[in-house]
Amino acid sequence: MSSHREAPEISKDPVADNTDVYAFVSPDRPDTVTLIANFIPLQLPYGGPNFNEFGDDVRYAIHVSNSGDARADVTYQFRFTTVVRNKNTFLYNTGPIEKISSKNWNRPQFCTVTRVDRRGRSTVLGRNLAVPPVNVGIRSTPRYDATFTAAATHRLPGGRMFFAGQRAESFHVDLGSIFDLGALRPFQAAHLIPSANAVGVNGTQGLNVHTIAIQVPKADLTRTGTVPTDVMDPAAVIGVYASASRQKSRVLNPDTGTPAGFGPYVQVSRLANPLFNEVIVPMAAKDRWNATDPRDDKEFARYVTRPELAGLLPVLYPGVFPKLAAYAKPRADLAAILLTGIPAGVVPGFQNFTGPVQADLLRLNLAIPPTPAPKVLGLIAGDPAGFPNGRRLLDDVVTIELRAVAGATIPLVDPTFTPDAAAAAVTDGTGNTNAGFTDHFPYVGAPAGGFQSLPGTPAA
Amino acid sequence: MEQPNRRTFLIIAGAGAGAAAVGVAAAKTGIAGPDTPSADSTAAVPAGAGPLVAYVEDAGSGRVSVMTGDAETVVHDPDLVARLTRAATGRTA
Repeated sequence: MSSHREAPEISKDPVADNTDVYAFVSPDRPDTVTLIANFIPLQLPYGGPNFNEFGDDVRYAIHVSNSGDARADVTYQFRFTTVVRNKNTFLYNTGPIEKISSKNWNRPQFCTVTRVDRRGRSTVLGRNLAVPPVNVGIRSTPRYDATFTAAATHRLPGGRMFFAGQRAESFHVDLGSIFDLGALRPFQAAHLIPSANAVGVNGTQGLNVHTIAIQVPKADLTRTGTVPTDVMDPAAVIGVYASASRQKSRVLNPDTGTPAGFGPYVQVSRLANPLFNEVIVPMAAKDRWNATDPRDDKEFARYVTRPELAGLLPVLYPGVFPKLAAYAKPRADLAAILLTGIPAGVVPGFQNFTGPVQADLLRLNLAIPPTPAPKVLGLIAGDPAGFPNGRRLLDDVVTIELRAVAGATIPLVDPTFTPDAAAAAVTDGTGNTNAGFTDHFPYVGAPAGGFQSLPGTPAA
Repeated sequence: MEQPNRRTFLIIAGAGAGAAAVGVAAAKTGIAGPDTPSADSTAAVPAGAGPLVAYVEDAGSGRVSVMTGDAETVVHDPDLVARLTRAATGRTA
C-alpha cells in the first residue's frame, strides 16, 4: 500500500515500483503545482552496503492530462546515471560525505529531466542534476537534511523546481493488520476472527522511499496555458499519474554480470489514486493494469463499480455493515471519485471532473487554493484542497478510501442510501510517525538514517 | 577518487564549500557476436550496426521483432524466421 508491492511482477522489481503519487497546489507558492512520485518501497535505512538508488535502466515519468481524454499532454521524464568513482573498494563512501559533491561518496547519481509535450516534442530542462546520497548515518552523512536537501534541490528553467532522492515514507498504513484478513486494530473486536481492540500500528514507520518531486507553474500544465481561477471551469482540472518503464528486452552479459536493454520502453508500473491497483484490481489482472495506460481503464471499471472490498467488509465484520451488504447498485460514487472526477452539482462549489473517459487519474482542480488549516480527511471533511482533489502528503488516504468503500460517499450520488454508522468511523488507526513534512519544496521529510534507526520487533 | 585512509575517515564533516562539476560518462554495453563470423556474413553487415535482439513470438506468423537501442522494428520475413528457428534448434541447413 498504497501501491507498494501491489502487483505480482512489480513486487519483484522494487527499483521501478511506484509507491505513491501526490499532486497539490504548492502551499508556499500557490501559483505552482507540486507533483511527487515515490519509488522503491519499504526501504530499511540501514540496507547497505549497496543502498537503495534509482535505476539507470528505468525511465521514470510523471504525466499530466488536461484535455479530457486521459492522454498525457505534458510528461516529465526522469533518467538517472550512476557513477562509480573508486572501482577498488566495496564501500558506498570512503569517508564522511560532507557535501553533495564529496569525492568520498563512491556512487553518486545524477538526473536528467525532460519535458515532453503531447506531440512528443522534448525539451531537456536540466542535465546531470545531483541526487543526494542516502542517509547512511551520523559518520557518513552527517547533518543529513541540512547538508543535502537544499543542495539537491535544483531550479529549472521556467520557474520550475526539482528534487530527486531518498526521503522518509509519507504514507502510513497498518500493513501488518490489514493484510491479516482485513483486520483494523481499532475495530478488531468486531472482526470475524476477533481480538481485543488496539491502536493502529504504522507499518511504514522508520522506512524510506525514493522521491521524485517537481514543482511547476500552473500555466505549464493547463490546456489553456493560463492560471485557472474559476473552480467550476472544466479547464481548471488536470489529471495526474506516474509511471516507470523498462526496455522491452533485457540481455544478461555473463562477462560483466550486468544487463543490457534493447527495444522500446514498456510500462511496468503506474499509479494515480492510492490503492487502485492494490485493492480494486484483482490479482490476475494487476500486471496487465500496470502495463496499460489510464485511457484504457474502461476495462477495469467493473472492479470499481463492484469493488471486492465492499463485499468483504460485511463478511469480515459481521453485523457491522448491513446497509452496505444490501446495497446492490453499481458504485457510481467510486466511479466518480476514481475514474472520472466528481462532476459539478455533487459537492456544492466543487468539481474535479475531467470528462466521461474512465481513467485512474489523480484529479486536481487548480483553482482551489491551499487550505491554511488542512484536514487529513480532505474533501469528505470539508477540505476541498485535499484528496480526492489531488493528494497532499498529509492526507489520510487509507481512512478516506476505507470510508468511501464502506459506503460513506454513496449518498453523494444516491440520496436514498443511508450509510452504516461504521462507515463514518472506520479507520486503520494510523498517522504519520516518520519525519514531519516541511513547509517548502520538496515538502517530504528527511529520510531515516541507517545508524540512527533500530530494527523492528519480531514476534510470532 | 580519494583512497580510504585515516585522514579521510576523520575529516570534519561539512568543512569546505563549493560544488565541483562532475562529468558523467555514458556506459556503453556490447554483446558478443558470433565467435567466427564468415567473410560473407561480415560483408553483409551494415557499418555501425550495434548489438540487437531478434524475437520471434510465433514462428508461424513469419514475423520477427528486431530490437536495437530503444527502437523495435517488426519485419515480416518468413525465410528469416525459418532460418532463425532452424538456428535455434541447431540446424543450419
